[in-house]
Amino acid sequence: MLAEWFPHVVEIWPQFVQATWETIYMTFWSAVIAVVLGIGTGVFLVMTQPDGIAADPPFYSFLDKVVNLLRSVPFIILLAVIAPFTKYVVGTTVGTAAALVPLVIGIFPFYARQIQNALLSIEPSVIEAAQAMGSSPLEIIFRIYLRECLPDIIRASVVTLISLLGLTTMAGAIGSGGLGDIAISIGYARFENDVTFAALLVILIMVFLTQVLGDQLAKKVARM
Amino acid sequence: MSEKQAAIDLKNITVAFDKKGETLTAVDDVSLQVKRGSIYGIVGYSGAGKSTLVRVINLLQRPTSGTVTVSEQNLQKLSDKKLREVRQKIGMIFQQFNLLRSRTVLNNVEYPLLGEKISRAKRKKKAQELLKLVGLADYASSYPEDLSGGQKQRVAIARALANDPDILISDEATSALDPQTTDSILQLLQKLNQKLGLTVFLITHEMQVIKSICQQVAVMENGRIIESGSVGQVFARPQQPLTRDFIESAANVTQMRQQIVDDQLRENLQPNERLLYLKFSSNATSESVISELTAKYGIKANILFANVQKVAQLSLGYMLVILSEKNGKIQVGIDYLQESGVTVNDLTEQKGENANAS
Repeated sequence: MLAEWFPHVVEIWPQFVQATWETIYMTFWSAVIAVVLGIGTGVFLVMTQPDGIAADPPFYSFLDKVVNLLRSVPFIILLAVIAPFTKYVVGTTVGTAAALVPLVIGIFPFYARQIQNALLSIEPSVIEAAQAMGSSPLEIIFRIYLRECLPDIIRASVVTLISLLGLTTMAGAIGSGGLGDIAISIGYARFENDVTFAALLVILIMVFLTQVLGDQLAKKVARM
Repeated sequence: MSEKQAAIDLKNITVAFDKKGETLTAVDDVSLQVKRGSIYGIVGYSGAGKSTLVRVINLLQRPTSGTVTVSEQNLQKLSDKKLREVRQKIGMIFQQFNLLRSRTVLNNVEYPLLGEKISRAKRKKKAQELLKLVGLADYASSYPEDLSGGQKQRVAIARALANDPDILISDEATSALDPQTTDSILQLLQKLNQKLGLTVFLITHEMQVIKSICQQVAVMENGRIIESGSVGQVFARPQQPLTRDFIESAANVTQMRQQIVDDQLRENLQPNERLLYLKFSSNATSESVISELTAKYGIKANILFANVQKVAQLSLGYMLVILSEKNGKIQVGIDYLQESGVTVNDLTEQKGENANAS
């Protein structure tokens, strides 16, 4: 049946499977790095804001603008613009590993904003209570902010992961490989619509799984 | 009071905020001393600076000037780390409870002990004991959102006691609670004060709270303390109009005065009638004085309102009464009342005036 509905996919089967793995690889590793950077940035934004626990308005304003600036750059242009930096970091501008650099830079500011919003849902008076109990800033970050907001953080991560999947397909434009690359350079270029459709189908399944697993996890950690 | 006895000693505290070039003085040159083991209350309307003042005690709010001494330590001279250690010995509770929603009741109480070097089992045991103390032993594994307001405040109190503090400060802890729950929380605070020797410093906008558990009271207005003293003394002889307002509203006198206006009582008085507002302090008991009036002077007394509040072993009585007598001897009766130690306010003459309580 697969051969009947997706004749061209069967023809390039090993390549299709590899592209699927490339997409997973790119999404996974850029997500890992972006989570670290994004949570770090989000926490710094909340801490250094004018009434934060380590208020530093000039630094906050700087970080805030950097995040805004990075979020304003269209991803397809970002890919090209940071090519020299990518070359410096990875050694090449082509391929799956090289795609990680623009992917991380493209997604982490978006994630940082969502983390910031999640953390801001904590009432300032709760932070004040923790300070009154003698909690240090580090304890407040880990025991209050990140802990109390864990369900929101997981939901933000799901949204980000799904956006990230979208970005990996665009990275095909710089020869990153992956399902986006196959959909365009084979499916679209050769008028093999079944390849494009199959790539889309696999991506939709990935999105669906991410959403379902994420929702369940968020529900589970809401009360630990 | 000597320095040694004071659990909290604030000297010339001023807190000023800079709002767009304008200086806003929230606390204005406030000095006060709270005796170890006592319950001290500050009463005032919102915006009086109470909340700012209470935050000065554990330096959540650093004063612009003045010195903060708690348990003989000048807090302003401490390093951040040392200050955090001192804060552990100053429990604090809030109007909005500020519990952690992702943790169980037990874990909330354990929270202040997480940084301590004690075993998990010991920590748990301590938290369980505290929950028992506040009467919530059965709720250890519940989450804050499943509790009522009063129960949440009990959890918050247990949490505030986790580090065996010497002092408990309360920022309007009962203001979000209904009257019955307020009473039960106040009784709990009083029990802790007596049982653990805990010094309690509270702020409130309800004189009722001061009346039921405080020994010392200070009245705050526009950032200043306008009157202070022992609760008995301040209730019996308030010096400031605001203090009088607070005391009268605690005894429902305010509502009663409004009733006079609404019912047009003054307008309907007969020529031989006098409308009087009487205040009794403990030695003049209201019933005997009023019955004497009738027996001795033949004056009829129509009591419209009477209330007695018990404050620090004193009974303070408030009464609104219409006296009537046919032979013009009313003044003799009024003189008799005054001789018996009753404060008499004659409301008769102020005809037509819109006598609002304040």
